[in-house]
Amino acid sequence: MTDHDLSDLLHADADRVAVPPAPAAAVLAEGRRLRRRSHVTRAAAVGAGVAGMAAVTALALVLAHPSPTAKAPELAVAVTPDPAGWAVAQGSTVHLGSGKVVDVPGTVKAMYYTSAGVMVRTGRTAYTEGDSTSNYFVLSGDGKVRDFSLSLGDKKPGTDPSLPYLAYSVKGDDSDWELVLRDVRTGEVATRVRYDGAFTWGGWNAPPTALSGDFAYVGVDDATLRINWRTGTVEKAKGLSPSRMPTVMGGNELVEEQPPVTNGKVQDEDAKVTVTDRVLDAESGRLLRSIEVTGTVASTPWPQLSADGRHVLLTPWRMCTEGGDCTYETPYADVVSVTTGDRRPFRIGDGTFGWSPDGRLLLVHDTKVDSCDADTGECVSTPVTLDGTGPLRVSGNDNES
Amino acid sequence: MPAPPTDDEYAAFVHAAWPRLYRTAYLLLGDHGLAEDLVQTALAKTYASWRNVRSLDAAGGYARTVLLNTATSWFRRPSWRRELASDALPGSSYDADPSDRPALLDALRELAPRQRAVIVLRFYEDLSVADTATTLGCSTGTVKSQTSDALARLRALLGDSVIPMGATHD
Repeated sequence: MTDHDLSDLLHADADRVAVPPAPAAAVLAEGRRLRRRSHVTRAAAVGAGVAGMAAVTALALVLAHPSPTAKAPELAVAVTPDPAGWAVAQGSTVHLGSGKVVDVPGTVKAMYYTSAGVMVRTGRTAYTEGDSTSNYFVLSGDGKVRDFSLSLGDKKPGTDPSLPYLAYSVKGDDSDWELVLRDVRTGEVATRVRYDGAFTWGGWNAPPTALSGDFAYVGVDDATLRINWRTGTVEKAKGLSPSRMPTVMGGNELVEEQPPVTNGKVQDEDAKVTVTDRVLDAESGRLLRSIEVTGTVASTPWPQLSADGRHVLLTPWRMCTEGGDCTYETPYADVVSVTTGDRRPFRIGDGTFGWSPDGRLLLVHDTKVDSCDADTGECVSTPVTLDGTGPLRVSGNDNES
Repeated sequence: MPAPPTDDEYAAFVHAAWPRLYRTAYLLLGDHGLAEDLVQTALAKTYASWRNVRSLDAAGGYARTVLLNTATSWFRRPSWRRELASDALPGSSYDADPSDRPALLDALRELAPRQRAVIVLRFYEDLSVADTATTLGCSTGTVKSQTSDALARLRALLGDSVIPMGATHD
């Protein structure tokens, strides 16, 4: 048999594969959602182009009313994030930065920083759609586990390591939506803010939400809205495109640029690709840092913003075996300072890194977790024993989908 | 900017393009559920990028490129890897029927993802070594060595009569 025969055999066998019906409606719905997301990257690519300028001008428009439902009293003040507030989970076991080790029911799938401790989401899958088994627990530094008793369903919530709130959106009665801030210390709703906006682009049940300081950010069809949850003021966020998942941290937002394609083809498949990721001040829309990243279309490093928004980790290409053992072809990742643009390489392992609440790079090893100053490279070690089973989850990563 | 297709036009394109893209995805991933997700993602990205696609005639090629790039990006995403490494994979709606599981496809599933991708790209999608390397984001030397390793593995699984020595496709 020749290699030509192998090709024939593959085609023949592939033709025997049972093909399910094409979900055209679902494709269209997802396409609309992604189209909105892609707009933000294109806006970044064209920089201060005409369309961008027009958009920036329009973004100054105050969209909505201050909500009479926003409650002023009893709202928490922001506190300095706890440097030891990080967590590393393996299966059901969570190692806290304080040195405590706790177990939670179910497998940890995602973690969120709050000033009251790490909130963990447990469930069957990393994603939330179609999964009614997600549960939320708050783990304080002293090792106490509090069942948050909240069934969010398929929503993307937001937290801020300086605040004790979980922010998310629900359908409103007198408005399209309500932003809800729920106090993770008590489980009670601290405040609600009504806002309007069509939401058809996302796959969630409500607009995805980020929380950063006095503002929550929500992605609706025609805008990313910036909501001052203390005053109830709702505005279009300057510089942030519509219909995208906000991931604002430390007041900053990372905008990724996608590799260029023209007429359905990568412009030069043999050439290296350089894209420019950008960090914006989410409150003003001001560009804080452009980060040029070089790779190929498939292997362009993946940027991740730190929990305090002051650094960007450029994770390299990685490959995995059938058994799930993954390695980086180049096990070093640059961390870029948003303030200075300086880059510092760190040696990282498969899925074993994250960010502390105050923006230090976490590097997880079998017997310790290093918390490293991203600017100087100086690290502080905390002993851990990772001998359990199940995939690792390191706090400071975004495991939403 | 080119006018986007109507919903009916794009739905018709999805129905037409789906089978071939699905088969490629299944060969790459070896899982019906993931293959369905991949093709759906590729077609959705194609719709979302209509500014670049410009016409329905070009959409098929664009979707294929997106599918290959997306599959490659999935291989490197930590969350995807972690999920694959766990026992918590979403259940497939299309359970295996032994009579529908040709030996070659079974053997493909025994390969590591990159080896499987190399075989599919080169022998099913008929990409050159250079194009395969570009798609996977690795060197041509890696493609060649992965091809050699993959064929050796297939040969061990299926026998020399199916995958003879020298079937290197270079």
